[in-house]
Amino acid sequence: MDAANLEDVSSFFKTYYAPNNAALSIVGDFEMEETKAWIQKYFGDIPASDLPAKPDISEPKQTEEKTFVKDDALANKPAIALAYHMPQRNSPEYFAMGLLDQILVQGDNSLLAQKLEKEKGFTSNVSGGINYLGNMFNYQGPMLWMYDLTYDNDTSKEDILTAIDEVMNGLKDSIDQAMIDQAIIKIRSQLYDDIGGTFGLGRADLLCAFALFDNNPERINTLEDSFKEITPKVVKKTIDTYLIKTNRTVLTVNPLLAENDKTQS
Amino acid sequence: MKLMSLLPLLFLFIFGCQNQNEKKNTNSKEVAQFKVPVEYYTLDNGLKVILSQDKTSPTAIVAVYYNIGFRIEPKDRTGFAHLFEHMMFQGSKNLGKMEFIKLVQENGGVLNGSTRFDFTNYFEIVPSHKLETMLWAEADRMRGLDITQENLTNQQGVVKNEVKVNVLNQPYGGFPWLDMPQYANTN
Repeated sequence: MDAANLEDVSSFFKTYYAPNNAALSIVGDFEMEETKAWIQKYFGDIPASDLPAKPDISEPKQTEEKTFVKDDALANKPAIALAYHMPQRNSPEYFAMGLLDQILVQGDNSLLAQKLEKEKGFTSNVSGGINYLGNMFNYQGPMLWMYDLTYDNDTSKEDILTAIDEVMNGLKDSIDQAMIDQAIIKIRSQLYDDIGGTFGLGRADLLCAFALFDNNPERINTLEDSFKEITPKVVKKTIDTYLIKTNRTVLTVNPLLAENDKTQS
Repeated sequence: MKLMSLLPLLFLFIFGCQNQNEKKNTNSKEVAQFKVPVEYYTLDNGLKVILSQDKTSPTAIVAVYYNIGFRIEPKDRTGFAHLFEHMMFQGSKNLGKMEFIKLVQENGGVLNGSTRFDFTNYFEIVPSHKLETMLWAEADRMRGLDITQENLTNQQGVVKNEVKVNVLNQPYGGFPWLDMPQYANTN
């Protein structure tokens, strides 16, 4: 970025900030025909650009578990994050992962919150999801399902991983339609929050994402149905294929301030 | 939208008081589905337009999404997607530096922009009668930016400091949202 000159910047703008690389959504109180006329008037004659092919960012199948440690000079207690590669966007397994995200980490009744917060008391908050910079809908390409938590210096990484194993090992056998129905209720509630909040900003977001990535903004109205089509069988298959250690990366934060008495209470 | 989901409940209360049969009828109805109006078309120049009316409050949202995010920028253009999120407020043909922000705020609106994995977005929420103004302003900066060396140098510094403040100088900065993809992915 430092090396950027005016010419680079201008050519980047002309290429990627062109109407054929963009979506415009309007949500709210407006008159349909009047607004369409304004859009044509103001945007209609902006020239399109020649878009280069998108870079290939597809990921090969992971075949063994990866573990990493990151030193953090400013942290005073350890943290851990676990990530699994997601199934391809919009596949049945992808929607099944949306359900598993709810079952495992979303809300107080999620299995990992119950285990790590309520039962073991290792942490006060397990947070996670699909796409930390948005939600499970507004991305295109590879993605990770991930969750993370901080824990005390007295607790070991092994304690955490053992507790997680207790949840993951029993997961497949516990999946039934009732559990899926509960997950769908949470998805529905989150959708209402996302789509309805901030004067409808979440609605504008999904409409643009589905237009850019799927050329089909109508998908906003069929999301709930896509989850309802997922059977316990598909969820179990997804657990067997994706929620396995060979598809997992574990990253821990090594807190360099752990021994610093100024940060200890 | 919240209103829509409440309507079936209201019916239940009103008719539920009258007699048992009607209450049964109401109960057997399908659960309300979330549906919003979607009008979708594409301009001749390729701009995808999605219109969704909602007259519950006299406001309008304009959202412009560019299909360029920080993981799909060309390899020799690392950081450009984020840099542009800033340049878009530095002036265009008819709007001087920071005038876009002033235009929205002085009309009682709010705005923001962000750089994500696969897109960079800009939005304004304004009183409905200012919709045309916002369309004009968004089109003005899509048409061309007023990129000067001074603006560029300034924003290169701003973006670098943003990374320092939000990521490098924070405990758990970038953990795990920025770190994990780099460890878990091969690309």
